[in-house]
Amino acid sequence: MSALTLLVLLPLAGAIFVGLTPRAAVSLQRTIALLVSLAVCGLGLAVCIDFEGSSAAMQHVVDLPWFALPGASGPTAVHFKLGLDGFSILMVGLTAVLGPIVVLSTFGHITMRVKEFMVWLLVMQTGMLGVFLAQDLVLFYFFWEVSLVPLYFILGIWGGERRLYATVKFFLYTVAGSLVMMVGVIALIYRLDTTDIETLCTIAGRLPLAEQAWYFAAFALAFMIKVPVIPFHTWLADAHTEAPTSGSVILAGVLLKMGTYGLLRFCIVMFPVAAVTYAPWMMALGALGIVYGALLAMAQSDVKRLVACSSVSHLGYVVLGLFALTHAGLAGGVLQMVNHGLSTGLLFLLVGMIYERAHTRALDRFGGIALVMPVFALFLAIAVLSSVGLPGLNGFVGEYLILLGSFQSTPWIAMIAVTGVIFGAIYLLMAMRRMLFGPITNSHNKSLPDLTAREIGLMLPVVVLIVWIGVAPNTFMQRTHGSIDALVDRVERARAMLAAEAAAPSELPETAVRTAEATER
Amino acid sequence: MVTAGIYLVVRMGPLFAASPSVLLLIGVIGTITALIAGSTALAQRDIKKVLAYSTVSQLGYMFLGLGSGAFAAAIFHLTTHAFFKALLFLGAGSVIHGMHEEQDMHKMGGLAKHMPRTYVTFLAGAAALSGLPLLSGFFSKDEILAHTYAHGGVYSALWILGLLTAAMTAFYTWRMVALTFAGKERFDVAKTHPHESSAVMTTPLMVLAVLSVFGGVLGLPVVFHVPHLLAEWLEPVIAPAEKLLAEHGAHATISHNTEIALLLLGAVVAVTFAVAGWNGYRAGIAADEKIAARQPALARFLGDAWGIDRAYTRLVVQPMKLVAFAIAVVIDQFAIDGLVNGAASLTRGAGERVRRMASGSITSYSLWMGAATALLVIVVLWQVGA
Repeated sequence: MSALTLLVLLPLAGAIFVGLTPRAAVSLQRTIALLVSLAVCGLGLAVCIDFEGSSAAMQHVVDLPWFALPGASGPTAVHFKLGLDGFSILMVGLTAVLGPIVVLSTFGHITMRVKEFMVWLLVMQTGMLGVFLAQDLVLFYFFWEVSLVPLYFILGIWGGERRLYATVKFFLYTVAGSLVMMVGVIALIYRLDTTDIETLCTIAGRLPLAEQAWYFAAFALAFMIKVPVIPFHTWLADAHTEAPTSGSVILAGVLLKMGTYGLLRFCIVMFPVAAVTYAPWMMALGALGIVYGALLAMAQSDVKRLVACSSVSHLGYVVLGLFALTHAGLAGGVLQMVNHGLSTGLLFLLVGMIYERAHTRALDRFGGIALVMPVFALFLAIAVLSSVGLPGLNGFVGEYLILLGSFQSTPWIAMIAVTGVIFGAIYLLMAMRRMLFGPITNSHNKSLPDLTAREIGLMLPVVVLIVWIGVAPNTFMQRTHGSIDALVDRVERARAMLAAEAAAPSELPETAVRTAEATER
Repeated sequence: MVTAGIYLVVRMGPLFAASPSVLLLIGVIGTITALIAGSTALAQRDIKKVLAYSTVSQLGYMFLGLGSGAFAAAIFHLTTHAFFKALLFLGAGSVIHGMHEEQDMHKMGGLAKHMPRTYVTFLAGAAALSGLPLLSGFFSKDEILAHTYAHGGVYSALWILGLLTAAMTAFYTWRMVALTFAGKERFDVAKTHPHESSAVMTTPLMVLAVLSVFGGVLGLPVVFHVPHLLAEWLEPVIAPAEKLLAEHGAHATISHNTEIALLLLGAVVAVTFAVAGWNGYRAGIAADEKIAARQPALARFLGDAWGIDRAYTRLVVQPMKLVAFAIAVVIDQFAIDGLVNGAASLTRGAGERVRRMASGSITSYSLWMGAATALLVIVVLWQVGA
């Protein structure tokens, strides 16, 4: 069995094992889940290290025939095809690394129905890894839906007071998007008679704008809901606020990235002509999201909701960078996906830890926490500063590249986005000050115990990565260069094709295809 | 740290030198900064606030220098300012330490005899800051003002305001010295026990005091007929910018006689206002109380730094909080979630209606069946007829 197949199926096997244990054997279930997630982490990292970054080609490819779809011109073969390239590698690495961290974090706050929780957690990991590795459209859609179900249960069973409202809202929002995407998937397969993503990219990229635009819209809606891009963001704050800590970490760390990853893999790579045409609108939505999310966060009194709103702002950066369609913007966007997973994941872990102790998340119930929990304060400060984009930590590298890339493409949008840096600093530093510093205003907080060794241990890898990316981002970014270079070329060809379409609309699409092919050669 | 901006402008000198209007803007902003912060320092009671506003004011000076195209002079003032302001802040720290965390100068006084080493070194720093003749601050400040004067035109107005700020600087500096160290103790000596700080704190003060007094040798005026050490050292960095300035005639020079006159004028202003500040407050806080009684509005205005903080709160902070609130409540919860939840209740409402139709009553089912059949018949007949 090849490495990628093993990587995707391992969590699923773990889930089955956990499912077979007796209900009361909580520590056994925890141990199995931890060991499996550690194995996935090791394997995932090994795969990511054994990767040639200068190449745009799919690596570690697995390609097995699965079943056939009947079509107008004969059956279309659907494959179980997995592959790793510069766009997926960092997301696979992030998913693998966050796995054991999330499992460890559940030891503190998941005490009820541990078995089911671990099963769903592991199934979700299979789904997420599948989404990032699938190179067959049907397989991708399969994993996309698979990853949705576990969160439904995690939110609905282990969530907070308003969990049912949050769960239904999250589910309906996401499913509405997925269904529109399914229409797009079906239409695309029947139009082009293949489900192979690489082949689709080659052919679909040559379709005229009028056709690409519809596919682009169908895919983009699903991904924009997942990211979420405003105005599709209102499910996020509720879902995050009601989710258990580990659910929030997975949601912020990886699940939201499925949206930005999809935007990149499908909306941009597969439909470059439409992407070029609608990029200004997407960038504007991204920049708007940065400012809007930041102002939204500023008005929150619940610290978990504040972090959730900050996600809207931070993912605005990612959308902005990706649709800048410049090398810097794309590289920054891809890196910022990881950065957001690390910093916001860390923030949610910390918010969960303080909630387990103080049983409140209201900002005005805190103050002076640094006096009683100095280690917690240190970690929170690191997470906040990384999120704000302090030079030397990860956020700075991504934000800077994104702002540079978007300025190269559309200066005035970059100028709006830059204000988000200030707003981000305002709400995050304000929240940190209100929690950590000043006198202890709430007498309940006087005896809070500081972090335990387990809690420190599970956060350390995240901190290491935050500093590593901040100081030596090339370790990570060099693995994305090949794919990004190829995409930038592709975008250039799409621009040429658009120009040709504009020059001679009647000769379309043959001339355009020929132009594109000529440039390719 | 705060001087990074000066450094940046000098580093990117050619870029700024290429645009005389930007230079003028820098000069105007610098002058306004120097004036506002300097006048604010006049009315502060907290010893560290005097020093902080003084720093802002001196930075304004440096920007005035940059705006006049005097890059070397700005760096010169940056350097001497680093000497004497570091000295004054450390000295203030020593005073605060000795006074057990008291920062209000109105509750000090007479500390000269309790903290002699701090006092003497503080005097050196104050003398340099106020630009008393031949000390480091005197030369660097004079060089900036001389360049501004040489420009003429609009810069003449800046020069006058710069000179006014120099007067204020001398005044508030010596007011601070007098309030802190001179006169009678305005606190309970038996209770507070002011004490001199240890050598760990006073030794750096002495080193800085020497630098504050003699730091001026780095850049003596041309009339002294000795090389301007700092300008020569900076030559490779500044030359491109100066060349550009010379090209559009913005690099003015002045005659020796004018320079001597300016030096003397600077000296007279500094000494006059230093003496005024010292004399006004040597005896105590009566002068402050008199102003507060006679001109309460002015005292409050200056004490409040021209109300800038309040303006920020009113014009930036509060509107932003309002916008954030509007976004979170009106747009997010009301408009967007209103649509989302509205769609949900619409679906639920429709489902409720349809559910009621499935009532289990044969009569109602047959009624619907009959109605539907009738409708179908009509449609079919209509189609056939067409």
